[in-house]
Parts: sequence; structure tokens; C-alpha cells
Amino acid sequence: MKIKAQVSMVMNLDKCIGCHTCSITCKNVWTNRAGAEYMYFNNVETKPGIGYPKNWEDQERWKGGWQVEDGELTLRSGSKLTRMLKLFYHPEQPELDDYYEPWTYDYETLISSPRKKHQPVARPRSLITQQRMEIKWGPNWGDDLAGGDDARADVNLKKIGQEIALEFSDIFMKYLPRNCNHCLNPACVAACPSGAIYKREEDGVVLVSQETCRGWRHCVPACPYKKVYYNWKTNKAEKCTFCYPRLENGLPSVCTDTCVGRVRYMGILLYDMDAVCDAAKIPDEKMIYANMLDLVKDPNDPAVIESARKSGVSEMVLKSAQESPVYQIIKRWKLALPLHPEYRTLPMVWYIPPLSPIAKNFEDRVYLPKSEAMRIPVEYLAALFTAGNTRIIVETLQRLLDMRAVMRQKEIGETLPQNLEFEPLEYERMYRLLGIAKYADRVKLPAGLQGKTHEELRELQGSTGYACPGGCC
Amino acid sequence: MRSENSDTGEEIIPKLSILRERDDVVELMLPYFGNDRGEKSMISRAVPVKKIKTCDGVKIVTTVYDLTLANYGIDTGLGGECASSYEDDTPYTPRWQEKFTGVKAEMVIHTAREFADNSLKTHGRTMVIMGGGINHWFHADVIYRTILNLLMMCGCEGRNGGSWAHYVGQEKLRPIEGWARVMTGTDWQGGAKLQNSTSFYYFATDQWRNEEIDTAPLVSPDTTPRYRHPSDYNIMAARLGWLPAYPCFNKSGQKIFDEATAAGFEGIDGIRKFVAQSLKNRTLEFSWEDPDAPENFPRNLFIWRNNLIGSSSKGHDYFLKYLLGTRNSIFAEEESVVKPQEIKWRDESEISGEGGALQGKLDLLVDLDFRMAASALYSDVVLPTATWYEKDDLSSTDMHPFVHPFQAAVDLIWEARSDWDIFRTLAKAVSKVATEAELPVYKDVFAVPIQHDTEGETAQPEGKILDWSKGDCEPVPGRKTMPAIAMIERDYTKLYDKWVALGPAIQKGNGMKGLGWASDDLYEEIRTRNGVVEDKNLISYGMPSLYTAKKACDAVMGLSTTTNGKVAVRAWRDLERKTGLSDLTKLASDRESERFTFEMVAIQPRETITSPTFTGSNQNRRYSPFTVSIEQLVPFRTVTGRQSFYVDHELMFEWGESMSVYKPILDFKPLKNPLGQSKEITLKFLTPHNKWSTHSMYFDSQQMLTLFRGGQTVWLNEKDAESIGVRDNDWCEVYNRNGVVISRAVVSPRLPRGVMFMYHAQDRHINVPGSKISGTRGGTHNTPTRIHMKPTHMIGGYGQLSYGFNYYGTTGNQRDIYVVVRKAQEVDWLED
Ligand code: SF4
Ligand code: SF4
Repeated sequence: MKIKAQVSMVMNLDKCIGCHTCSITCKNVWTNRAGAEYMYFNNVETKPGIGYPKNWEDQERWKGGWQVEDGELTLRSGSKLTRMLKLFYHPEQPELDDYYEPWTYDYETLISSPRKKHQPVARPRSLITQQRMEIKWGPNWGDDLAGGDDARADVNLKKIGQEIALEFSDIFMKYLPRNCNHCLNPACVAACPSGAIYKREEDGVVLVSQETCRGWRHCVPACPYKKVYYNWKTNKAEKCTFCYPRLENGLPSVCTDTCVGRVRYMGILLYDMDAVCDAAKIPDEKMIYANMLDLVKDPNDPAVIESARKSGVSEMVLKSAQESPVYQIIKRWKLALPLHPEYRTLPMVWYIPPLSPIAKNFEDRVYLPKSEAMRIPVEYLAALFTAGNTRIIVETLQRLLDMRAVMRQKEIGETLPQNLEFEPLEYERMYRLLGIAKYADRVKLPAGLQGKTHEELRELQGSTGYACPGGCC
Repeated sequence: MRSENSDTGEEIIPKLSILRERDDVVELMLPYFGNDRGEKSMISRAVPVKKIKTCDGVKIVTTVYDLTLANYGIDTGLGGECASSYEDDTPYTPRWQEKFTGVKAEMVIHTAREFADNSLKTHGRTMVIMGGGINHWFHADVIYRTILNLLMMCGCEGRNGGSWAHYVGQEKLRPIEGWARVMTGTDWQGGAKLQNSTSFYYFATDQWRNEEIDTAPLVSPDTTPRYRHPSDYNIMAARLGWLPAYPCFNKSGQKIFDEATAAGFEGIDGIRKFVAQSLKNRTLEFSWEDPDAPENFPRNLFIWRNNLIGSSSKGHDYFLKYLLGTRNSIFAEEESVVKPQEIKWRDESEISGEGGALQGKLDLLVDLDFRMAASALYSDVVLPTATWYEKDDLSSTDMHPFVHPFQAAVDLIWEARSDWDIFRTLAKAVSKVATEAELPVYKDVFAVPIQHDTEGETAQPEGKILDWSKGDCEPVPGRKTMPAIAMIERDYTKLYDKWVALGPAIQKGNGMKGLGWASDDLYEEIRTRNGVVEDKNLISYGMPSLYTAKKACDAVMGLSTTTNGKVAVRAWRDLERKTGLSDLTKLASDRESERFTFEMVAIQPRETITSPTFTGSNQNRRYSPFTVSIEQLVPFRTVTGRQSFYVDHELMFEWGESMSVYKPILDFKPLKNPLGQSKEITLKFLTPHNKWSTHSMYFDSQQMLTLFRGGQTVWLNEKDAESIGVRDNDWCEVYNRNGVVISRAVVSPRLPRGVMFMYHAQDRHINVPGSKISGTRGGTHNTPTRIHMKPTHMIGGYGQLSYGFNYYGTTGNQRDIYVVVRKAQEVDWLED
């Protein structure tokens, strides 16, 4: 056992309103630069839908993530050699049109228009070519099921044999906010020939070193979530940093901070690094989620604590892990699931699947439905979060329903459901964290994550900025 | 509202129903509007009655409860037409509604049971959260009443955690008492002319000339409407003092004064007599009786903190045509189906000449804006103003009982100034010009409608309409049979002097909603806090300064009940006096010592203090409307002092709406003769709130546009789109008699068939090409819409049906609209 710390995020899809505030604040902070205009480190997709970039989930097409060959994990994008051969012709490399061509408008015409017969208008202009352009695709083209056929092209619908559905009467949708998952088994890191992408020791954040990156672009197709982007001006890879400069000061990522729905939770998980590889390569992909849960260790277990200390996890980080809201949600209550565990990168952004209104079986005087009676098909959620394992989805949704039943009982004295998995008090805790938790409860991060002592930090002072007298440093 | 005999103290147990004690059963004919198009009928219901001897002989009476049951068709064992089960196709069963709503009866029953069951178990903690959407239907008022009935029947109103949560933006202005004084200048003197804008723009933009409504098919089957044209009702409303109608008369206030003086009428009473008499003998007219007479035009318009032209102008192209006299796309102007009786009709030849209405009524359009959106594009003068992050201001909202600050986080750029500073600068300029021009003091004589929360609510008892112009009665101003007539002096040379100070009238007291309290000490406190006007040359020398926005905010919060505990306690005390209830002050006394300041709310937004200006209390809990009435027995502000299922105003009977009934939407043809020649489809046109802007704000931001489709879009069902050969992202032309829109299509299964969504307040300055049909640039979401005015919204002088600024009056409903849609053949950007 080798215990390491990982900063992890949970998104409660039951509460995401699809407002894209997260995308906007992320963009303002990170990608409103030349060459990065088309990037959304964080984007929000309407599901069903093909998302951004187009059909990113179709790994038959993109060959992202890992596969198991002869019991060993290999990148689907091929061996180092085959990848090198593809350097100049790479069919799995997404192109600008797969994302979208970014644009702006000729706003100036509105202000300095000469006298004209018709009202002036600001027309779009490409940020790439500077030419006039017609807008044919964007980073959120399928918002709220815009363009029904695009929604039907969702590979998850195909998987469950429902690609022709989506009639008004039985329609369903939900939002899926996405940023880099800071995976435990990141394909992007494995694919980089220059070693420019690395997973940080202290918190598991996956970063691209801008000094080391040589622009090979192997990471772009390798990431099954398409969360590494290529800056066409600097010719280097860029990606979501989990806002590490903020993390280092005990602050959550900007998307978490500004989330209107208070959907996002951040905290520390302790996991067993030694078991990562085995967890990812289990042949039955439906079992990966269970393995991931096994990787996450109890931060109050003395053996875990001891091992963590041995591998350099600081006391502050340990304490934070013990208070971690994401540990509660992920491990203790088993409410959050990884997105597409079958990609085998072991993503560390987890999702609480959404409940949805009763759509069938109006059983008399039954107001909390069974998960099968809900509008969003269980099979669809399973295709997203459990590699098709519907049992896990049903159980997870049932916990959310039980929480409501317990709270309702508390208010109005209805009878409690049979076979509750936890004590009623546990559901109340769940309610507090999911329903009414304040910022400080949703986010628990240690300041000084990089694990430096005060002494070390003091030495670092002045290492950048003003030069020292005489210009010696 | 205590159930006791006030003389003897004996308990009263009111009878809900007299079914058991009935003397007789009568057949009641109720209006019904659910038949096929155009057909109206009466439905017969059996109602239990009691016979009561009165001095006027024997009368039969029944309870509202029995009436309500009869209206809903509930079988009370009396026979007659009623539903024996939910499965009957009789109005208003779950099965019956299915054919109108498409919602399955089973779903309705299940939801209704859950609603009732939950209300029972929680004592009414079931809530309806409602946006502004319903308000945009012609029959908004009956739909609202239907929902209110549901809540009342389940005991949810006034229950914290339950009831009716009306979620409409920023409209609950919490620090209202201080704001109202500063906003209207009544800290100096009365004379603000507050107008319900729907009616105003309806007349100013001549939409009355193109009215598609004939009231005859809309009123109760057993009545003939008093007017066939909706505008006539509005003229009546102005005449009877129900609604404001500015500019008031076809003569200026000074002219009326001069004429009165010349005719020997002295003093305010004389003026009143003179105006009443002149109106009666028609030597004076309401300006709206002849909206196309040049002397009745509005001439100058300031747009401030909204986008009138690009966003809120329902009937956008009528604004362009009649207000601005510019290029528009009114596609095929068709004269009203019926001509108004109370309005002078001027032929087109008469209004198209120089200075006529068709040249544009406005002389000057000024816009305060920080975006170059449509209002700015169409203005004569644009005053660049501050964004929220560049100025100091306050904000408070509907369901969140908090006062929030805006604070300048960055400096203003270029020539921009904050709104406050712009208006102060303008005030100074006006005073300067007035002084230079030696403008004399202006005597303004004007009309003021009967106000909500005043004794005027009993001005026209029993909801009887007595029209003095028809000889039903005499015109009696002073909020009796016509509007009050007021006279004030306006000295424009002193505008600036007054603008920069909190006026002395505050010292005489303040009030709201019929309550009053002392405020001289508050005035002193503000003087100390804000400092004074130091310029000896100003008449406001030594008065509390309002020079900066921050000072104004502090004055507003110092004078308001929700932000100054002392004031709240005073207001509650006055309500105790008025109602005879004791112990109401406890609702605010725990916070009596609190006085919000700008600095305080800047540190942290503050939860407001419970105040009788609003209907809910939020002591250690969230605000819910009407809890004060339910818990403290403060009467509701209605004719009966209670919630009403039944409204007995004459106009309500005329429209068949004494109880809540089903009324179908207006379904006028989009155009007499659609163009044809290419595949077309007629769709219902709805304009809900946009996801990618807040009204038109942010719409033109590159980031927001990038996150959807880069410009205006219309949504339609995929099968409807297919039927006219439209594919996702194709350009579509959308038109009806009111104008033409050209927009990208969003094809989606999310919409039912037969409907088009064009999200509200997308503006026409971004990525909008020309339309081949109109030959000009495509319009906004409000191009196909227009104002429909419903006469029942105009009622005044009768309890809750009384005009209140921003509270009661005609709604700007624009939903009952159809459009013709087709694929755009060719896209021309009209760069010339
Ligand atoms: S999600 Fe992030 S960490 Fe995982 S493979 Fe993609 S870029 Fe790498
Ligand atoms: S994650 Fe939060 S900010 Fe992002 S879309 Fe959902 S609710 Fe909005």
C-alpha cells in the first residue's frame, strides 16, 4: 500500500442548471488568449447530445483512453511507434471543425457607421482567419436539445438502442459540466513523448509543462475526454489546471467557486497508488467503478494514515482528507460515479446522477417514484457513468430517494421506507451536504498543498521578482 | 378578520355552504368559453339558496363556496349539469381539460392529489413558483385566479414554505418608501405623473389603429360589450379615474389654468370645477381621445436602464413607424376590425403630412446606455453610462428579502458617467437654460387616477360603472367619478437646487400603502450622515445632500421601513391603529435599532426588516407572501378584506369572469392573406426568457453569443421544420401583419408541434440580415408581437382593482400571437 493524496471534485447533477457560469469564469481566467480562443477547459453539455468536441465519446472514432490487451493496459491510440508514425497524418487528431471556429463581431460598425439606408449590424468575423464567416457550429451547439438529430447521434443513446427516440412526449435531458478529470491513470501523461505532462506528487493535479512541451500532440487524441487542447499560436498543449495556484492557497477551482447551482464539491481523497494499475486493467469494465471505490481509502484508518505519512502526505493534507466532503459523497454514501469508467483512466471528477420527474406508472398516492419510473432512462445514465451497469445506477438513485423519504418523514411523519441502507441520521447528514451546505462545507482544501514548510517557503521568497542587489541572482 | 361579533364578542362560525340549510335550489347560468372557436354558451348549474327578507323584499342568496362548487361542476347532489366523475367530459374535470392542454387526466389527478395531500399533511406548505410568463397572456388575470384558487382551497396562502411564489425578477423594491420620494421628487412637492406604460405605448405607437380585437366574441355570452374596441375601454378608464393617461389633456396645464382664471375660476376648487365642466361640455378633451393630433404627441423620451426599442417594445415596428417615423416592416397594415367610438379617427392622408404621426411623433430620443444596442442605435443622443461594476447603487428582489449593493469595482471608461451623475448634470443644464430663458414658473394642472391603498378604493362602490360622460352621474373630481385634478407650480430654474438635496417635505412625514408616520427625526439623521448642500445660492442650502449616488442610497435606506427598524416599528404602529389589532410592532421591534447604510450592505447584503409595506414576515425564516394576514389577521387589501374567489365588478360580469373560468387564447390569423409561393406553416409565437442574456443585457457579448448560436434564433419542432423544408441553422423568415423577422432556425424535439419560441430580447444589431419580404433588416422578437389590452385590467376605484404604479394596470401581454414561417430564400446583408 502506498497512500497518496488526490484533489478530487464531485458534481451534483441533480442541481446543475446548465447556466455555463463555470465555463465563462473559466474562460475569463484561462483561455481568453490568442491561440486558445476555441478552448473550454470547462464546458457544459446538454445530454443527450454529441458535446464538445463533436462526438468526443465515440472512442471507435477517436481511440482515446486505455484498452486491455493480453491482460495489460495499452493506449488505444497505439504504441509509441505507431503514434510516431502518425505524426504527419493523424486521423484521430481532432480538427478545428470538431471543436468550432471561434469568432467575434464587427462591433465597431455599430458605433462608427456612416448615414445609411438600413440599420447597421455587427456581423461575425473569424478569430482564426480574420475573415467574415458564417457560424455553423459552436462549443455548445446542442444546448437544450437544439438540433434534434445531433442529440440523437449521442453514442450513449446508440448503446442503449434508443437513438430514434426523443419524441416530445418522452423527451429527457440533463446537463453535464466537464473539465479535466485529473485521472489516476491519465492517458495524456502516458502518451506524451517528451514527459511534459505530469501528475503532481502532492495533489495529483495533471499539468502540462509549457517549457517541456514540444507540441507532439499525442496527448490530444489519447485523452478520451478530449480535455487536452493544442494552442495553435504557441504550438503547445494546454489543459485544465484545476486552478492549482488557487488550490495551493486552499481555494477551490474557479468553476467551483462561481458555480451558481452550488453543484461542485472539492476535497482530498487518499488512495492506494500501488493498486491503481490493477484497478484499471480488470477485464470486466463494469467492475471498474467498484475497483475505484476500493482505491479510495478511509482517511481515519491508522494503517492508511501511517502509510500516507510515509509517502510524504503532510499533516495538513491528512486533516483535510479526514474532513473531505467528496470522501463522504463518493465512498461513504456511494452517491457519485465516474464518467465513462470504461475509458480506464480512473477519473477523479465524480458525478451524482440526477433524479428526474415521474414519467410513467402514476401509482396512486406514491409521490417519490422508483428510479425506473423516471424520465431519464436508467440505461442512459448507466451508459454514462457505470459502463452499462444499471444496478449501480438504480442503487445510487435509490439512496437519493431514500434521503428525500427520510427528510419528508421528519417533516410530516410519513412512514419510513423499508430496507434503508443507512441510519436515518446518515441521510440527514447527506441532506445537509447535498441540500444546504455552505461554501466552507462544500470545499475543504488545505492551504499549502505543495507541502512546503514555512522554512522552505521563506527561502523561496524573492526567488522571482525584483533582482537582488548587484544583480547576482 | 377575527371571527367574532365586534359588539358582543361572540364567536362567529361562518357557513361555508348552505347546502343543508337551503330553502330552495335555483338553476344558475354561467358563461362558458370552451366550445369550438367562436361559439359561446351558458352552462346550467344547480345552486342551493336561502331566502332572506330585506327591506326591498325577499332576496335569494347563496355562498361563494356554493357558487364555486357549481362553477367547477362538482356534484353536490342537487342534480343539474355536473360531473359525476373525473372521467366525465364536463367542464372542469381532469378528462375535460385534456383536450385543451394535452396533459393526461391521470397526470392531472396524480399531481392534484399530491398537491392536496401534501398541503393537508404540512398545513399548506405547498408552493407554486411562477415566473412572469402567465402575465404575458391576454387572459393572464383569470389564469392567475385559477392558480390562486388552488392555493386558497388547499390552505397554502400565507403559509411560510407554501403559497404563491411570484418569481418575477427584480420587482420587489424593498426600500420603497424612501426611494419613492426621491424618485418622484415628492420630497419637494407632489406632481409625479406615473403611467402604466402598456396603455401609454398602445396609444403613442398607434397600435389602436391596427387593433385586431373585437370584444364581442370575448365577453360573456349573455352580454353585449359596452364597447367593441379595447381602446374605448381605456378612454373610459381614463375618464372615470381608473387609469392614468398622460399627457392628460389636449391643452397644457398652464393653458387650462389661464382659461380658468379668465373665466373667473379661482383656487384649486375653482380649477377642479372648471376642468370638470370643460370636460363635460367637451371644450377640454383627454389627449388619448385624439392620439394623432400633434398637440397630443409625446415629444421627448428618455430611455434609461432598459432597451425599449430593441427589447421591450411590444409591437416593435409600430414603435419604429409611429414613434420614430423610420423604416419598419409592418407588413400589411390592416385597419382595425372595428373602429373605436371614443377616439377620433384620422385618415392616413391626414397623418402622413409634415409633422403628422406617420413622420414619427417624437422630436427627441435620448438613451442612457452602455451598449450600442437598438435603443442607442435609434436615439438622437446617447449618453454613455456606467455598468454595474462602475457605480454605486442598490438592488433588492422578489423572493430574497435582502438589500444588495452595487459598488464601483473599476473606474469608468471614456466619457461614461453613472446614471446619477448624468441626471444631475442634466438637471443643472436645464436650470441654466431655464434661467437664461427667464422661464416663468409654470402652473401645471393635471389629472391623477384613483390610487390603490387610499380611500379612493371605495370611490365607486359595488363595482357599478357610472360614466359621467354618458349622463350616469356628474363628473366629480377628487377620486369620485373621475380622476382627481391637481395643480402645482414647476420652477425649472430651481430644478438643480432641488435635485441635489433631500427636500423639506420629508419632514412632514412619510408613508406607504395608506399608512403614515413621522420622519422629521429621520430627516435630521440623514442631514448629519450625508452632510448638507453648502452653496448659499441654492434654495436647498443647508438641506441634506444627495449629491452622490451613495448619499442617495443612504437617504433612501434611512427613510424606508425595510431598512430602518425605527421606521418599520412606526409603520406597524400605524397599522395597529388602523386595524385595531394589537401587538403588530413585535414583527419589527427586535430590529428597531437597525439602520442600514451603504457601507453596511457593502460589507454584507442585509436581510430586510419585516414591514407592513409587504405582506410577509421574515423573522428568523424566509419571506412568504401574506403570512401577516394569515397569522396576524391583518385584512387583505381587497374589497372584502379577505381572499376572493368571486369578484362582483360590473366589468367582470360583462367579461364572464366573476369567478375563474377557462378562456381560450386569442387566435387571430397572422395575416389576412399569407404570401404563399413557398412552403409555409403557421405557428403559435412565444417569447420566453432567454438563457443567453438577461433580457437584452449581455445578448451582444461575444462570449454569450459563442455559447449558443451566434445571433438571433427561433426554435421550432423538427416535424414542423421538416414540413417547410427548414433544417437546423437555416435562415427563416417569420412574419405576420406586425412585421418580419429573419433568424436562424433551431430545430428541436424539445418543442411540441405548432409552437415557435423566439427567446425574448434578442436584439437586431447582431448578425441580422435583411428580409426579402420586407426589404429591410429583420426585426426583433417583438416584431411579430403587439400590445393586446384587456379591459378587465383597466378597472379602477374598487378595492384591489385599483391602479397602483407598477402594481396594477394593463399588462403588456403579447403571447396570443401567430406567425407564418418559411425558409428564407436568399440572405441580403443590406450594407447600403
Ligand atoms: S481527463 Fe485530464 S488527466 Fe484524464 S486523460 Fe484527459 S487530460 Fe489527462
Ligand atoms: S456546474 Fe454550476 S456553474 Fe456550471 S452549469 Fe452547472 S450550475 Fe452552472
